[in-house]
Amino acid sequence: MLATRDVSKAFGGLKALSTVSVQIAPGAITAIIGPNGAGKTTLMNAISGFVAPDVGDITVNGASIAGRRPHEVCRKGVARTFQNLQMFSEMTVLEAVATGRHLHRRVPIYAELLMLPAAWRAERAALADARELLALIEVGESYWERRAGDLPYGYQRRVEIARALATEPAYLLLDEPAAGLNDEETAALGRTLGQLAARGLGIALIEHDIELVMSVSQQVFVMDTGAVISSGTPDEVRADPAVVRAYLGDAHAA
Amino acid sequence: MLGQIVVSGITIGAIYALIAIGFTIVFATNRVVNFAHGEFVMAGGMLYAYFTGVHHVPIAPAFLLAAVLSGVIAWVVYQVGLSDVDRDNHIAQVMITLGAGIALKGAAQVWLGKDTLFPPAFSGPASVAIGPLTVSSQALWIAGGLLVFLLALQVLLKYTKLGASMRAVSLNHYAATLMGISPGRAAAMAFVMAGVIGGAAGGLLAPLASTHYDNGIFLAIKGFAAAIVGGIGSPLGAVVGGLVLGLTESLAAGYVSSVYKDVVSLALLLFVLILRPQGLLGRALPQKL
Amino acid sequence: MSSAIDRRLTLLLLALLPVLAWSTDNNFHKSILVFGVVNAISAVGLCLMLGLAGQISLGQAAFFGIGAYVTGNLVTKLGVEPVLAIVAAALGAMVLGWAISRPLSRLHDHYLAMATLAFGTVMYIGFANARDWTGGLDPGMSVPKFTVFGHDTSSMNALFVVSWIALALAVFVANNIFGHRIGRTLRALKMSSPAAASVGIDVVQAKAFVFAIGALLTGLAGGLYAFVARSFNAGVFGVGYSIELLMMVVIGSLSRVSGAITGAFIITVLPILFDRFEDYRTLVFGVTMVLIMKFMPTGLVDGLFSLGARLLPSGRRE
Repeated sequence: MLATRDVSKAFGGLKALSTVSVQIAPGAITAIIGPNGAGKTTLMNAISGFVAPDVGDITVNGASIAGRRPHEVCRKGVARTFQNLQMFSEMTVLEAVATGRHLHRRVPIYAELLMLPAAWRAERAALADARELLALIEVGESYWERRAGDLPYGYQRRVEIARALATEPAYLLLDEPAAGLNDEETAALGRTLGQLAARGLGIALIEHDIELVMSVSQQVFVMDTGAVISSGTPDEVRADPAVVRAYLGDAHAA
Repeated sequence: MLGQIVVSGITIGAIYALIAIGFTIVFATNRVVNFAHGEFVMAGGMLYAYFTGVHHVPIAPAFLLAAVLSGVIAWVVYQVGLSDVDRDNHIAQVMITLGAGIALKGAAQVWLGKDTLFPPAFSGPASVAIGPLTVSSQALWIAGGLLVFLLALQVLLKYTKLGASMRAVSLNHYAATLMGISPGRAAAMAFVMAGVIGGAAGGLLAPLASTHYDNGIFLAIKGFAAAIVGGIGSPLGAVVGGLVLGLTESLAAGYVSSVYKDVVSLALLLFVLILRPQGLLGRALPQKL
Repeated sequence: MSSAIDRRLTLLLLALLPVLAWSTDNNFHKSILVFGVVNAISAVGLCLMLGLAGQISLGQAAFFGIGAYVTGNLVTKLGVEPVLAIVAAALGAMVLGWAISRPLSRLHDHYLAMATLAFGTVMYIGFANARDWTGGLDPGMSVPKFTVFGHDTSSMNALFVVSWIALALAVFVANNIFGHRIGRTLRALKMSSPAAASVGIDVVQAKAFVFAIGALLTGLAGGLYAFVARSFNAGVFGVGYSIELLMMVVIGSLSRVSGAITGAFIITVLPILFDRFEDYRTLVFGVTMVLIMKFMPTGLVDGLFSLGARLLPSGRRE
């Protein structure tokens, strides 16, 4: 279980998170939704170590990761993507994903500086892993040698997911992965997420596409102005009057 | 002894402040640390020495001409070097301003000569006694110059349309563009002002410390240190930073060793950069992701 | 230009150097070649820092100086075997590079450039004033002839062989870094440091690594320089050399080992060819730097290559 307990964070006088507690279960998709400015991305930044919470704890399977730096959080098995793409634009797609294999190097540094046989084997293995992940995430082979920054937007989003998966995370945080995707691509993304969860991955999904959220997730947390205002299964959340008021109100009034 | 050290610290600090103001206004409007800025100062000093020494131009017009020409040089550096470079391409900005600075140094070497020049001081008596202290008259000119430029800058930024547009660009580049302000013009004007003030600093300093085509980069590091110590982006910070740096240096020279006074001020720069990059007076900005 | 082509070009350049060295009997020409090789080692170091990892350094002369002075002192004061002295000096420079990168790790671009410039200046002042160790600006330092286990190997031919081997090693390691995991890690740092951290790359450590390796190579070059020049003063290790190194990388290529080597030779040889125009050197330097950064921002040689690649196919079609 990846969990936050009473996490608060303020920027200057602005309270971005106030006593937020969410739980992200392994093998399931947990959605975090809410209007713009609700604190979803700040929560994700806090979990992944880009922002240190003022108070509260964040734990992975009971071990605290609060205040750890991003690469340490990654080593604890929590990977993420970014709302504004953070692509390794100048690399080929294959290299960008292989960079995600960084953590799983089993070769001492001198062997890599001298490219001893062990380093060659590790290099081939990293590229093979990257190919496998790209295939899994449905990025066609014709894209693999292209410059990552030149790919269509939707593909870059997928490459980011493949790159995150390359770190072999137990939990994956996705910040608006469907933004900018067309309906077909969104549906494909939903299927892929389902498959990943079925393999045991715990997925946290920040998303504005309510249809996608309601169709794929098992658990939903609704945030508004930095606090969790409701949680439950998609159906429970849909029926919660507080949620209707704060967030779904406009859509359902019509 | 201490009084005399403080006087020389304030004098050199005022020069650093003038140089720092140039870094600060260019940084505020361009988000660029101008590595050529020291060469504007060098140019001011060398040109002043050249006009008074070679062409026997009277002191006042020679000084004004040197400052104005430094402003023109700065404008050319901006137009040729930076005006069409992507704002986010920081490495290119560093290299281009560095290259422009080297070119200016080379030009001074070719056209103004390789000799160390000792141009005349601005006014007659070499020094005046103020109470128990002896103050060189040039130091008074320097202090006066700093006050004049500070005042002029405040008036320009507060009460003119150009100043308002420069402040808008420095606060929010994108929003300023939306409001119909040309950031390019504000940026170019910032360079011109930096050039004029830097050139004036060079002209003011030259009678006191001599001038040489090769000392620009050194003046740049010191001026930048002053800007950083005071918090880059604010003219007042530049003055505070300049004085802090000048006093630190002259105290170090007086009580430790004149050889290592530069080491002390550079160490101060490194400490502030590393521990408090927003400067002693500045406020920390939240990082955007 | 792919990294495979870069590797082949680099090997070609490496192979060309001995041919050049043995095709001339003129000792002066040979010494220029040796200085070119020494500078190339430095330039490969800066290429890794700036081209690969995006870490600008205007303080490389400090590492070059550490390399030269540690070597000189070990040999003259302690009688250490020259090759061992060079290795020790290079390692010393590496430790210094690693150490300064830690506090500098929060700075980038403009601030990093200024901070490294300040570091280089501090070190230069140190070199110029620690006269017991360096001889300062005058009289400077004198280093005995280069020997290997007591054999006199101070001829330009011998020095060429030694420097060439060092360059070959540097190139071998640099190529291994460029095309593989470490290179990807460093490039990730340059392209998006949040994304790099998000895949588990320790950004601070990665910067320290590239500073260390850049300092190691430049320190190695400094150690060799001590024996090639035999007599030098602190003036060699000022800001000027740091900027010359930057020019080498800019002229050649910001991201290719072959470009760094080409640039090193261009910057070493050209001023000697045009020594009648010595006074114009600085001016031409600066103007060239601005022009290259504006019109061929990946480096002059790189720019010419891609220009050629664009012109050639269209030429064939006609």
